[in-house]
Formats: sequence, C-alpha cells, structure tokens
Amino acid sequence: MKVTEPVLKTKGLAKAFSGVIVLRNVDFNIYPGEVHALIGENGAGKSTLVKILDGALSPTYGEIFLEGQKIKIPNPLVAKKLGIALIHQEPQIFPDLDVTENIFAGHTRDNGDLFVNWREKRKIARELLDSLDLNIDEEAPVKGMSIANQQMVEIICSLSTNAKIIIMDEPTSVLTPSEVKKLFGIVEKLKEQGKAIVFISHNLDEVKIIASRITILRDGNKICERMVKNTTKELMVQLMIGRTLNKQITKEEATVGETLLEVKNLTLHGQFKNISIKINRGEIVGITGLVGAGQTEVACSIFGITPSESGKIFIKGKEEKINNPMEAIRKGLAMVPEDRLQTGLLLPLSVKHNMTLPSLDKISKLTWINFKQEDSLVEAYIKRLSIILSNTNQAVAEISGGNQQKIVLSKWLMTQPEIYILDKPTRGIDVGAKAEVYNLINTLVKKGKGVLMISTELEEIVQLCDRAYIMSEGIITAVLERKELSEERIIKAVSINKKEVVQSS
Amino acid sequence: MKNRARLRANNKFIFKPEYVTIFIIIFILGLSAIYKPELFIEAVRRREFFQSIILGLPLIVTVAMGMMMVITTGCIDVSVGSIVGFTGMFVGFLFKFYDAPFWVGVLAAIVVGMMAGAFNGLFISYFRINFLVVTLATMNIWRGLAFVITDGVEIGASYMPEQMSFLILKGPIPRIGIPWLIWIALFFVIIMVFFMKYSHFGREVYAVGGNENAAKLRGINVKKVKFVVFALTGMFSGIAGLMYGARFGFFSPGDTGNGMELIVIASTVIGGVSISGGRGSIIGVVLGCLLLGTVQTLIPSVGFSSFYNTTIYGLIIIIALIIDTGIKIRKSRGVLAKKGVVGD
Repeated sequence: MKVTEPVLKTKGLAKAFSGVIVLRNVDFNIYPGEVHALIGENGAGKSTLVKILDGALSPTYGEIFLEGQKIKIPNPLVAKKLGIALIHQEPQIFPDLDVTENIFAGHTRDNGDLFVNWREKRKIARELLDSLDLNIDEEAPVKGMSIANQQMVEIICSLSTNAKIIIMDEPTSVLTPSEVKKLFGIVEKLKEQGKAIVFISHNLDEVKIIASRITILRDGNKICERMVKNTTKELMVQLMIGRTLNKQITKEEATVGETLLEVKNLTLHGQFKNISIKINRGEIVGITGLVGAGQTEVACSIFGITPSESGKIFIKGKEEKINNPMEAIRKGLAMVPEDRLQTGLLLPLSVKHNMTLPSLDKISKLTWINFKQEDSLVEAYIKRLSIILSNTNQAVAEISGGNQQKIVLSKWLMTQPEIYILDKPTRGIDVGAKAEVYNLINTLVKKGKGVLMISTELEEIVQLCDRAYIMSEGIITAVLERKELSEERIIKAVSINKKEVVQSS
Repeated sequence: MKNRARLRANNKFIFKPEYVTIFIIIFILGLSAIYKPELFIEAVRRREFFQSIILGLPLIVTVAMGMMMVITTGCIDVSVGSIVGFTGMFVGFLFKFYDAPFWVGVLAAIVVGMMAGAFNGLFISYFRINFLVVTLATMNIWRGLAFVITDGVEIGASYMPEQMSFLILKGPIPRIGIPWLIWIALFFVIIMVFFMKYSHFGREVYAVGGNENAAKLRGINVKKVKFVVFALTGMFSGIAGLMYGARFGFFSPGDTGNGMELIVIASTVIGGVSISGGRGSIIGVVLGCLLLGTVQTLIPSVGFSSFYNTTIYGLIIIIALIIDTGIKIRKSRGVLAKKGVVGD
C-alpha cells in the first residue's frame, strides 16, 4: 500500500457547549481518493465533528490542517472556499428553482460577471452531470424530483465549487436500496476523481461495502481508527456501544396476568414496519437497539401522537383505534417522553401545576379547581416518590434532573393508567435517581400494571425486562425472553440487517 | 445525453399559478356578463372603462414590483400604502412651499421612499423584529407623518409643476395616446423581469425565500438581501407616491395610498407569488394587477356599490392562499411518497 499524506487532519479537536463536553481530543484524518466512514451512536459527536469541519461550529480547542497548512474555518462559506463540502442528510435545496439554478445558487458571483450568464452555467452543469453519468435534466425544476436526485444535485453543487473533501451526513437514510446502489456508484466515481469522502451512516453493511477506513466515536471520544476489511460488524457495534455491565439493578418478581396491550403489524411508512409487541399485567417489556432505530417512533405511534398507517392495537383483548394522545389517556395509557425538557414538562410553571395538569378533571368541578384537593394530592405523590424540593410552587426549571424526571412520572401516576410507556426514563439522571426510577418501575408492575420501557442502556434491559424486542432500522430483528436475555445476544441482533430478516422469516 | 429530450418532455406541462390568474380574470368577466348583461356590454363598450383600468394600473404595478420581491423572500410589507402617502405628501410639500422643480420632486420621491423602506429593512434584518410587526408600526408612523407635514391639508394640482400633468396627458409617441405613466410602469416591469432572472441579486431573492437555511449554508447574506428588498420596495412605493399626484391631480394625507397595501398584496398573491416565499414571476404579478384593476373598475360599472371593493380584495387574497396551500400540500405529498426508508 502506498503511503499518502492526509488531505485534512484535525489535532486534539474538542468542543464544549456551556460546560458540557461533546467532543474530546479528536484526531481525525481524511485521505484523498478514499472513503472514510465515521460511525458512532447518536450523541457520540459525529455531527459536532462534521459541523466543525463545515464551519457551522468553531472548536473550543484543537487545530485543523488542510494539506499540511493550518487553517481556520469560521463559517460554511470559508469551508466551501477551502474545498470542504457537506452533503446534508436532508438535501438542502431550493425547491422552486431548477437544477442549474440550484447548483449555482449563492456562488453565481464567483467569476465576477455583472449578470448571470445562464447559457454558460447550464453548459457547466451539463458537463458536471455527464461526468457522473447522471440522467438528470439540467433545466428541470427540482421540486418534483426524488430525494435521491436532489441529493445528486447537491453533490454536483459541491463539484461546481471544486470541493476536495465531500462529507456525506447519513446520505443513505433517505434513500431506497436501489438508490443507495446508485449513490455508491457515484461515490466510486468521486473516489476515482481523487476526492476524499467522509461517509456517515448507521448502516454497518453499507459501511463495509463502501468505506475503506473507519473512525469510531463514542461519547465524544475517538475510540479507534481502523481499516474496514479487518473489522467485523459485531466488533463495530461493540466498539460503538462499549458499556460495562452494571449489576446493581435488581428486578423484583411480580405476578404476570392477562394481556394488557398488544400491537400487531404496526407500520408507519419510512419509520417502522410490522411491529408486533405484547405486554401482560405485571411485566416490564423493553424495546432496545441503537439510538434512532425507530423505538421512539413506535411509542409515539401507540400513544396516538403519530398514528400508524396500518396495524392493530388491542387493549385488554379489545381492538382500539388511538388517533390522538387524549384517546390514549382515556384508554388507560400513559407516556413519559424521552426529552422531558421539551415535551414532558412546562419549565416555567410550578411543580404543582405540572403534576396536576393531565388529571385536572379529577380535582375540579365544572372547570373550577379545588385547591385543597390539589395540594393534598401533590403532597401525597411528593412523599411517595421522595421528590426533593423547597415547596410545590417552585418552578420546575429550578430543580434537578432526577427530580424533574420523578415529577414527569408522578404526573402520569396521578392519572392512574394501566399501561406505562417510558421512553429512556433514566437518560441524563444520576445513579441514585436511576435506582429510584427502577424501584418505581418495580412497584408499578407489582401492582399489576404493565410497563413498556424504551432504552438503549443494555444493562437496564437485561436486568429489568421480562421480554425485550430488539429493533434495527425500523423493524424488530429479535424477541428475547427473560432467560435468553444477555448483552451479547442483543448486540448480535442489533447488527442484523433488514434484508437478512426478510429472508429468514 | 440521449434521454434528454424525453426528460424534457416529461417536464413540459408544469402547472403554473399564472394560468389560474388568467382563468379568474375570464371567469369574473364572464360572471358579470351573465349577471348583468346589459350593464356589462354598456360598460365594456365605453372607452372610459378601459381607460380607468389602464390608468389605475401603473401605481399598483409599480408598488407590486417591490411587493413581489418582499413576498418572494417570505416576508410581507403592509406599510407600502403609507409610504406612498407620505412620500406623496412630502413631494407635494416641496412643490407647494419651495416651488421645487419636477426633477427635485422625482429625486425626493426616490430617496424618501427608499429611506422609508430601508427603515423597515433595518429593523427586520438587523434587529430581528418580526416583519409584520415592523411594517404594521411603520404603516402608522408614515401615515401619521403624512398628516403632520401639511397639518392635514391637501395639495392641489395648481401647486404642481406642469410636467406632473404631462405624465398623465402626454406620451413619448404622440400618435399613440399612451401616457408617460404607463410607459414608466412598463419600463419597471421589463427591468424587473430581467433583474429577477439575470442578476445575482434576483437569484438570491428566490434562494432566500425558497430555503433560508440552505441559502445561509451557501454563503448568501440573508440579512442583506432582505434589507435591500425592503429598501427597493420603499423606493417603488415612493415613485408610486409621485405618480399618485400625477394620476389624480392632488395629494391628500388621508387618501393617497390609502388601502393600497391590500390591493398590492392581493394582486401579488393572486399573480402566483407563494406567500411562503421562493416562487413567483413578474409576469404573474402584472396579470394579478390586471385582475385587481378589472375588478376595481368592474364592480361599480355593473351596478355594485364600490363599498364592496375591500371585501372583494380580501376574498381574493383568501382564494389565492387556498390555491397556494393546495399546491404546497400536493408538493409535500409527492415528497413523502418518495421518501420510503423502510418502505421497500
């Protein structure tokens, strides 16, 4: 193998957002004529790294070298001038302009003409399209084009500015398999032209096909840089997740009763497909997989936020249609969303008002709220969950994350549902608060409720769940009962791709 | 490439909102012909009917050239009517109290109008205040100042230089009786057609309105584009202020440009300029103006009270928005269907 110098090199790159470190000491090397895959879970720092290279963010520490020269990238325009182009996951196009106008939007002034010479621009566009053998009309409006072709237009745009480094941020996530194949053909051609390509994807099969080198990020750290040909998919997953087992979680036995919730063949186009899940009384059921494999979307669909297109939902054996969250609540469901700051809590409102919001009708007569009843109800739950605060009129924004999570939980406990959907209930809270959340889940199932827990922390799933569904790219790749549950088996199921499942089933 | 002819053929029949505008003009004419045939025939037969439409147009068209750009960037400017009123009064004031020659009046109209528009742009672009709030505020500021300039007194034709009357009475080619006013508006239209297509700035206007985020990523100075667009709109409104004096023979703080924002916005959106930005053509806007001009003249001609006017303008805006939303819904459905990730 011939040794080449990296075209772009970062040294000790670090980024912190208001005290939270999202990228630590990353050395990232991109070589010309090579596809370099950047992988890691959501939140591992991939997009932060890409945004720094594109100039959308500036690094807190660290240096960037382009062809040996130290450079600064203060904004995307400079990145473009330096020859670094970012192809966004969702094509950033102008729907009402045609292909040529899209390609040259923003840099028609580059050659100093007084007016835009569209005839010349169309010729250049045609030449660029032909150089990649693309069957796209340079005068067609972009509006009606497929996402794949819109992506091509963006790639051509990067070529028109003579980009040396093309960063593709999850380009395949919006494409169909045949379109992916076509994209890979284009990537090969770009490689031949000597471009350096950074390829970001969650699909490890694609990484194996297209990339020759990978860099794995986890929690803002660079874990390793390896050649793809001597790295297996399982190893990639392990390096991406890389957590240690926590034995402190205990599951208390509860008696399992009749089926509370059953969903059959739930499908939402572009999100998930053929999801079948069953929850019995007294069971903790987990949904896991890599972040972004469709778990949250399934939960939102069951709860009526984004109803599924097809499939059936049975509650206590009766088929039900759930079109919005109000109906879900009425039918005995409760959902604790993942992002409690955005969707779970009204931050400027008091603890009391947050807690009683979904159960106001229980403590009011004709629209008038019975304050005494409200106070006593709130006090009871604060005691039960041992929530720490100075008084119930304190704004939710002022209290700690763990206590916020307990307030979200108690808010739904008050509505006395039968089925709890908990989306990553322990995300971002400390160990002590985690243990309390686990205790609470145990208490719930002991009382005969059903819990559906979404989590990407494998130890939680392994230790707590009676049954776990493993999702990968929108489909369930494995169902593991309690006695079969182990981290290894989950990791194996995660790395199965959807074509294999379709073939085996 | 061999397939290009075929590719092009597929894209040949693109639905254009401009077609709808033409259709509506015909529809309204037809409706009034059926509803009141004798009055309609009488109205159409008279020369004044067409004159009234044609002479009403230059003002609307001139302001609409600016409004077209504003709406294409995804904003809206409700202060144009007041800018017309204020600059009109200012120019009239110069004529009356300083005996200003005609060219000073023209210069003043351009400069004052542009500054009023730049004032809007300053707050919208650089202080990041919502465009609707800013222009609603300046709409009242300029209207109020229009009264302040002359203590609410109108300025009649007798104070104006004689060139003002030439604008409406004479034309560059004496044999064809088309007055200057119309040639000026036509000149603006031709310049703008060229400007929006072939100037860098014109393309940037479409880009900003089409996808502001993408425009930023491409390195377009979005703030500057919006600022300039508002300033140019002010300039067009200022020129229209001067034209008002020529067309009607007086400047009045209450009447000059009153309610014009509604007419101009209506003709712009019915002319196919998308209210969410990014799409629209100058020709469409001219057709939209023609539609509004026809309606404006037709309503009293077929025996309706002109009190109906503003109601009908409002309805036209609603109709235009329904068409616009319809296009958008169709578009987003098309995109969703193509976005299959798990689909296949």
